[in-house]
Amino acid sequence: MIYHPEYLPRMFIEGSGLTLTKVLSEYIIIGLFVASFILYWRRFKKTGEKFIIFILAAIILCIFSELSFTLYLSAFDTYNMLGHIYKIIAFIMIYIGIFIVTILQPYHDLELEIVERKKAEDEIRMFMNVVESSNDAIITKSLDGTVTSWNKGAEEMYGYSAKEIIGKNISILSPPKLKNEIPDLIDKIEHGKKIQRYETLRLKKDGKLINASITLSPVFDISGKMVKISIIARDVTDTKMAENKIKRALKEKEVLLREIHHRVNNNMQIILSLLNLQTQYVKTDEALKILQETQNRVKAMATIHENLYQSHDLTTINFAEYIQSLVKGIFFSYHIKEGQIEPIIEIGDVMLNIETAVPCGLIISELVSNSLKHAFSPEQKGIIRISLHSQNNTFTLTISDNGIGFPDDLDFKNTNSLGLQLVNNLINQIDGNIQLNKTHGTEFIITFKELKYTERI
Amino acid sequence: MCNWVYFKKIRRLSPSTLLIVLTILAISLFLVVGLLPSFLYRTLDIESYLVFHMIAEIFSVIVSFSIFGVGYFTYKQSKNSYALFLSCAFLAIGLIDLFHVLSFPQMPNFITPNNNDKSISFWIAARLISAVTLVISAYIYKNSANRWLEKKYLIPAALFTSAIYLFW
Repeated sequence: MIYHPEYLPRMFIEGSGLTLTKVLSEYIIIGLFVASFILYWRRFKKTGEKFIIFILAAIILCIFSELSFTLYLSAFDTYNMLGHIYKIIAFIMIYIGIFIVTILQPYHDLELEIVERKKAEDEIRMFMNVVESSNDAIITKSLDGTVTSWNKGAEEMYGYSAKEIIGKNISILSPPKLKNEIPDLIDKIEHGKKIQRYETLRLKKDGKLINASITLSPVFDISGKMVKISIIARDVTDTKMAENKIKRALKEKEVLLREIHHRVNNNMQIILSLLNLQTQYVKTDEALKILQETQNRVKAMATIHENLYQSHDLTTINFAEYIQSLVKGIFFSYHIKEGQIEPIIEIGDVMLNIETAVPCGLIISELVSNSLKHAFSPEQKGIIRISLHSQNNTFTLTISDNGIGFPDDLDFKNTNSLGLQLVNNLINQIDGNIQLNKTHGTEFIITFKELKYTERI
Repeated sequence: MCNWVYFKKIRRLSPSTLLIVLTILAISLFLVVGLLPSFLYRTLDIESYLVFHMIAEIFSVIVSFSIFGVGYFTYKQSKNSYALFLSCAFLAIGLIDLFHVLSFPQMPNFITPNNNDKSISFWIAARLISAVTLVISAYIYKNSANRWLEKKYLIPAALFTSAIYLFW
């Protein structure tokens, strides 16, 4: 405009006033303002940006400013002044708009963010307190094993302070012979395996070994990549020691109990031998019979103790095995020949405790003896069947023979026979029920529940 | 923060209401002047007008440069392309408005002798640039990415435009 104004269109010609170019330019400018108003209005409807209100206000004022410059009659009149004022206000509006966009809005957003961050920080601090106040050691380490955090529980457990150990490798905690264990554990975690309550040995700062129960879990960053491993460890040395103590005591008790059963059995064997010796000196058949029956009863009990000290848990015996040997003994004592009377024993895999096994053994011993004594005439062939079944914790014991049958005039619950009296008493002892079925030979059906096992150890 | 509180207060009105109120105010000023010409319509003498014109234009130049300052110097933090574009445009507008004031016929010579044509040409140029700027800026957003929306292009462009127009 300074050196070559002749190449620009003239806006004002001295004498004739404003040129057409100037007036047209003003209208084009007004048109552009109107267009920008429409564009900004659409943008506002779309995005809702608040500062646009000021831009829109500025555009309106610009339009009026331009209108006043086309309207004026003299270059120095009120309309002209009004145009300048509109223009200034329009520029101030744009200034406010820009100020909002670049300063106020970011500050406002920042304030909200600070509040949010403060909340998050409080939460983190709370978790930090939880971690710090835990009795368990809570540690984090990076994937190469470098310790990155160390709580008070860890300080107490391992003896290292957080300052001492953070940044060092966690392998200083493992005893020399377990050097490969930590890399192995990290490898497992990296492969997505869980390690929970893994018991191992750890080395304290003062060189003492402790038993530790450790749980390892992966720590992920926002993108889901594993960045750290958290370790929660507990000193279980005392628990471990107590556990070993209990195990040792249990073992001792077991040995003792086995010894007792062994001695009871031995003593009963001595009683049996004594009774056996005695039989050589008795004169009457009656006395011989009594001694023999007593021998069988003692044998029934002795066998139980023999089975018990041979059994692995010392509290229950395999009832089938026991009855096998018991019946064999009774048959032997009555001099039953092979093939004359056949014992059939149908007992499943039933385990009974000693409280129930002793009375049951005695009952079976009595009833089988009775059958051998009374049911069969000499030389007659027969069968004695013993079965035991359990259903819903109720046992049904059946002892039957196919002999001549129980005498009709005899009430088995009320007799002078010591054997049957004994049976009745024993039935009461195990809280059972006895029934007699005389349809085929003699059949005793006894139902009972296993007596409650009382813990002895 | 008082700007912000003020902004919050008027924000309760709907934007269209606000703009309509503004338009009515602007029109009514015209009407008041038009209907009461005897009181308000004045034609100032040249000296008084010159004072008014100087104050008004210098003030608007100051505001233009303020717009430039705010948009330009907050860009490092705000990364607001829209504000950067608008502020750089206002650098050019402010400069050309300044040339307009300086070339006013009653002012001392601005390099070459002043006349109405020179002054009005600068005026029209400034208005044209502001109108075009507003049209273009309607399409520029805070995070618009364009390799021209950078300080190293916009500032030279603004200075170059005003310089070219000045020294043509």
